[in-house]
Amino acid sequence: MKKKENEHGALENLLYWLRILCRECPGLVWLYGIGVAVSVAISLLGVYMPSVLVADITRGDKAERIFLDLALLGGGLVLLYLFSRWAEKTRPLLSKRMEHGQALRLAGLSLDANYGNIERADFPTDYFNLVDRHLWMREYTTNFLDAVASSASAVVGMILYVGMLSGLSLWILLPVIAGTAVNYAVGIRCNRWDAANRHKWLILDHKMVYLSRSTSTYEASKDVHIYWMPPWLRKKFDAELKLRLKYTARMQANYFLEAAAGGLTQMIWEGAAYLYLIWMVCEGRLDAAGFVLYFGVITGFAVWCRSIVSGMRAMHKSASYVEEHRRFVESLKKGADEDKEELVLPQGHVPEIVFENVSFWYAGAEAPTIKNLSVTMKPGENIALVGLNGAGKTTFVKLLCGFYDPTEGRILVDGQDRSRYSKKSWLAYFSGVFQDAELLPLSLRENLTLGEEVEQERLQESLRMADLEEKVQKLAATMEKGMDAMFGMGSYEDAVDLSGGEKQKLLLARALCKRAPLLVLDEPTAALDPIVESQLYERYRRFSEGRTTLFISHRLASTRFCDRILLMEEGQAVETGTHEELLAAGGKYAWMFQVQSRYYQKKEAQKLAGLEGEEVEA
Amino acid sequence: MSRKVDKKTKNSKNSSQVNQDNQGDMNSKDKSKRRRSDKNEKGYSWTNVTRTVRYLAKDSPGLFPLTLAAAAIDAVYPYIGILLSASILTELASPERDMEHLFFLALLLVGLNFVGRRLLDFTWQLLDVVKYGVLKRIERVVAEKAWKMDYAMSADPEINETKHRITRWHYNRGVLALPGQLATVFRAIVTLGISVALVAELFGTKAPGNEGLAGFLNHWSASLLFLALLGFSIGFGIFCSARIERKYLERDKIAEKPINQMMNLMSSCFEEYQNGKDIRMFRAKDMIFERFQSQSRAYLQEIGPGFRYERRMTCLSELVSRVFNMLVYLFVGLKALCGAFGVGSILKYTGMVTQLGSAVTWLGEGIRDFLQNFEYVKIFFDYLDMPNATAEGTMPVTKEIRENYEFEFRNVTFSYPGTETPSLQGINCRFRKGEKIAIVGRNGSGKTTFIKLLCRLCDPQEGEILLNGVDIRKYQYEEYLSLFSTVFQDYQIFAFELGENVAAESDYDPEKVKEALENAGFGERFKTMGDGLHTQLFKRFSEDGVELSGGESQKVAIARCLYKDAPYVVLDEPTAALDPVAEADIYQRMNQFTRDKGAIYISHRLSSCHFCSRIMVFEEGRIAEQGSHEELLAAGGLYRRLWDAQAQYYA
Repeated sequence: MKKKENEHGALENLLYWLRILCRECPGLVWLYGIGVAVSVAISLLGVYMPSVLVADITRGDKAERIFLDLALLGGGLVLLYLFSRWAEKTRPLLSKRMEHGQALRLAGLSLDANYGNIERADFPTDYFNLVDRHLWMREYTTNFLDAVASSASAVVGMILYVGMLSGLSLWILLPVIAGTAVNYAVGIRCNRWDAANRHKWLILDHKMVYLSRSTSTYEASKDVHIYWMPPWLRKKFDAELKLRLKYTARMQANYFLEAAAGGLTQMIWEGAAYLYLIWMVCEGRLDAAGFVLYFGVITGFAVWCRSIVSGMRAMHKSASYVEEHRRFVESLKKGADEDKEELVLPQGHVPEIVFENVSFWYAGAEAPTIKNLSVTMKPGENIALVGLNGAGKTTFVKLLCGFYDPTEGRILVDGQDRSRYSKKSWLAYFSGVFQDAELLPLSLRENLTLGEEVEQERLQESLRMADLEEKVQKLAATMEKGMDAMFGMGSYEDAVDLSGGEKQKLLLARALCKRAPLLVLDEPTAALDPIVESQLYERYRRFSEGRTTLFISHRLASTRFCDRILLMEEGQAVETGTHEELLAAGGKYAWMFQVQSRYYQKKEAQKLAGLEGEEVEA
Repeated sequence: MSRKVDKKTKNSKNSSQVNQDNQGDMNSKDKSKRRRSDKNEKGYSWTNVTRTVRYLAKDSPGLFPLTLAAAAIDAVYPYIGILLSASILTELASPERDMEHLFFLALLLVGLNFVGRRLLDFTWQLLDVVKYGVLKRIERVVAEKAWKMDYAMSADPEINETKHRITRWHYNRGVLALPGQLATVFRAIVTLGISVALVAELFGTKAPGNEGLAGFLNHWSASLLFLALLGFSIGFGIFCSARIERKYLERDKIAEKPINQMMNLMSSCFEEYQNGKDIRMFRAKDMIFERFQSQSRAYLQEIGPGFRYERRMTCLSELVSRVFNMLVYLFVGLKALCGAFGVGSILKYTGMVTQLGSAVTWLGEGIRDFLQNFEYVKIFFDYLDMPNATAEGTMPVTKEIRENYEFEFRNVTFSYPGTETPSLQGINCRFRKGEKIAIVGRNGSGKTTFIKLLCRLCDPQEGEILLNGVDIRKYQYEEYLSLFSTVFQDYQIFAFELGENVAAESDYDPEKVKEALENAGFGERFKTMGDGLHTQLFKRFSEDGVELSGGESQKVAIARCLYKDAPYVVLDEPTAALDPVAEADIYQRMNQFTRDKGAIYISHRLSSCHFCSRIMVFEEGRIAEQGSHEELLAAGGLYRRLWDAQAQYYA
């Protein structure tokens, strides 16, 4: 396999994680440490006991002797078994805490990370894979320590058993070792096939889960019914399953081969061991008890061989999981603010923001989304940002809020380069509504405040401004839980479901609730009815007072209440000015306004109503 | 919008892992729900068993024969080793041993072991493939039920939970567990048969002499004591596993709640990572993180006692069974010492007693699981048998109806479950082919609910909706739905190929799909897509997937509506995310498209009303006004207010 840049070695990863385990969960590591000794002891006693019994009987010892031997060996064995059972059942108690701690740590880091580090299509996949591995597959606790401990016991056990075989020719171990090597080679081949093809069937699995789950939710149900998708979805599912079964069959065939190779080598060394030991007994060099003992030792040695092979394989896998964990954590920390200044603005101060020749490329994009853009946002200015779909408006907002850094050019805050300051401290001065925001599965109140302490009065004021006060009162009157009612239809009982417009009002109320000198509203009115929309415009002056605001909307009426309009096209600011100025200029804005407003103008409207189907002039 | 879909999957996937994980903890594969005290009421309904057998036999005819064959081989196979190694040791210990004969026995032993093991592996592996297929098809059957389920039912958390539970059982419970349970019982019976013969031999072989130890061992009471201990050890083991299972279920039920809530919240924060912008802007991190912590703490607290209880019971049953094993050794050893049999037989008898013990345990557990599985099978079939209100309609929607139709709402009242105020109240209206209706009104005034009722996603509590004078509930549901081309406000685009999404079908007419995309204003974007109609949407399954912006996915939804080309068109805010130019364009094309059809538009952009012959104004669940644009303006009611509120800016 190709070694990626900065990849840690397997050994380094194992030690790294072992250190973390020792630090965070020492009890668990101790338990495993003792477990190594216990498992070797169990194996030893298990080999000795039958042979001692056979020896006692062939010698014709007294019954007391048998009692005593069994009491000692058997009693010891019972205690050891008991301990290992106890340890096995104690480990989850310790490891669960560690597993949850690690999963929460990942969640915390992801909540803290720069937004740019989590805004990528594979972030959710990576995140949930890791959380799954921590929480449910226990790769980082149980499986990791199992791998280490079983390798350790195997090494100790092998050394001990070789010592015990001293009475015999050690050549007898040769077929065992050779057999192990063969098994290992076959196993590796199967593993390779597995690794090379796994992604093919994992995708099929994901698709099947997607088909069976995601298409049958409350949200999806409407479209599934209207377009009557069940026969089609079924067909798709069956097609994926057919492919998947081919891989399943192939995989099972591989397992069969792997086991057959193991069985074959086992047959050979077991046969050899039997023949050798039988020959020894017949030659009189060994008695029956010795036969039982040595046969047990050779079998035990083979078990250690197997477990060292599987232990190594498991450790290798564990090391790669540790690597994945470390990579993920590092990817979150990329560009972290640690050594950056905190931006502190005096109470009530509104900064001047200047975009200076800013360009921005999305990773892997061929053309810039923002092209050499220079804009000055004066303190307290209300700016309307308009443009067609895909003009770069939302990207502009992300640059402004500091979710992205410019690829070229600078953004100045009161004359200082913004990159000096930490992103967190910059974002603290913003409030707003994003176009793609959704409610979280939290209560109504929590969605409104997101944990900030807000005075009741201010909360009510914001709700009133967003025209949501009445609805909330109604909810409080009909729902037992009122403001504490949860969102999430289909997963919470008594969950509230708001209409599209109401959700948008809630987001707006949230934005108004936070006192911040900079307010960004990206399409806050798309789902609002005309009266609420108009009220919002009328109140716009009031809540934009003492702030710089940026208002993005496809409803060009909104621009009237802004000091300045900025028309973007293909990542550039092509027109700027007041509504009147731009109309007079007769450019792109004037045209867009004309397209939208003509139905509202009486004469035009009547004329057009008669001309159905006419193309819009370009 | 597609993300929403993703999120649910993640949740369900995770919660399924919760369960697997717990099963792992329990170290008990085949445990099932605690015995219900209301056994009689729930009923051990054998019809469900026969139904299960029929279901499985039909799904995979090979399943039962393979399962039984595997069980039989599994039962016989261990005795090869037990018997042959015993005779080797016996001969070795005796003075008249023959090396060649011993060699033969040894080679026979390893050879038979190999062959037996391969045979067993082969049947198991074949069975695994078969079972995997059955498992997945059960998942599909469950999903299929959900796809066709009444819309109202899909909002029911209990039904959703049942749906997820069924698919979480895997091989351990429910329909697919049945063959395994039968096999366990079968295997136990075969093993018992063999072992009983050997036990009889063990008791039958008398030690020479009748005094002292030998006398005691030969006496019937020794055998009785032995059997009593065996019974106790097995009974205790079954008792412990039953207790653990019961505790597990209690724990499982309680602990799953906080952990599912945690995974839910994680999905909203990380699966829908765009929410990260708000989380950062509003500094919600601490609050969300604390929520994670408290959910995780609640989970850990819930599972703690269960784990400790399980540890206690497991250790107890381990102790009893190990001590009993030692007693077997003692009994057999003493008998051998007294000369009842040779040393080789020690191996035979101890091995046999272990097998016997296992067999009785299997039998007990197999029967217990089989009986307890009744309830799981019942949940499965009850889920499948859940009646759909929509399934009752039988009338065909004939070609005549499709060509000439009139809908009527007669005194329709509807409220969502759990809410007191009705969303719609006393709605009366008619509309027919060729009419274009605009529905306008304030947010939350019942506009979307109205079209949900029209499309029969919900049924009214009072009043009726008629199609050509007949209650729509009387029409065959699927045919009724085929009347509508609808774009909902919260439409869903799936992570399939573009063409499939538009056609809602994998076999489609590419030209027609392209035309639909073109007419939906998606043409420009379509040209940039390298794989054309086969372009995978969203990056969920492939790095090459294409993410769509809000405006773009809205256009795809519109294309889907155009492709279906149904007689009646319903559009709920289809242009909210589009810029003015695209919006005007879409309205022009829609107008063209609906020329000979009927249509309902819902929009807050009142300019769209111009294309409509009639406007219905909704206010708090009622139709406040109806009429043409001019009439309503003249009337000076709510419509006038709405219009003025918007038009003033464009005058």
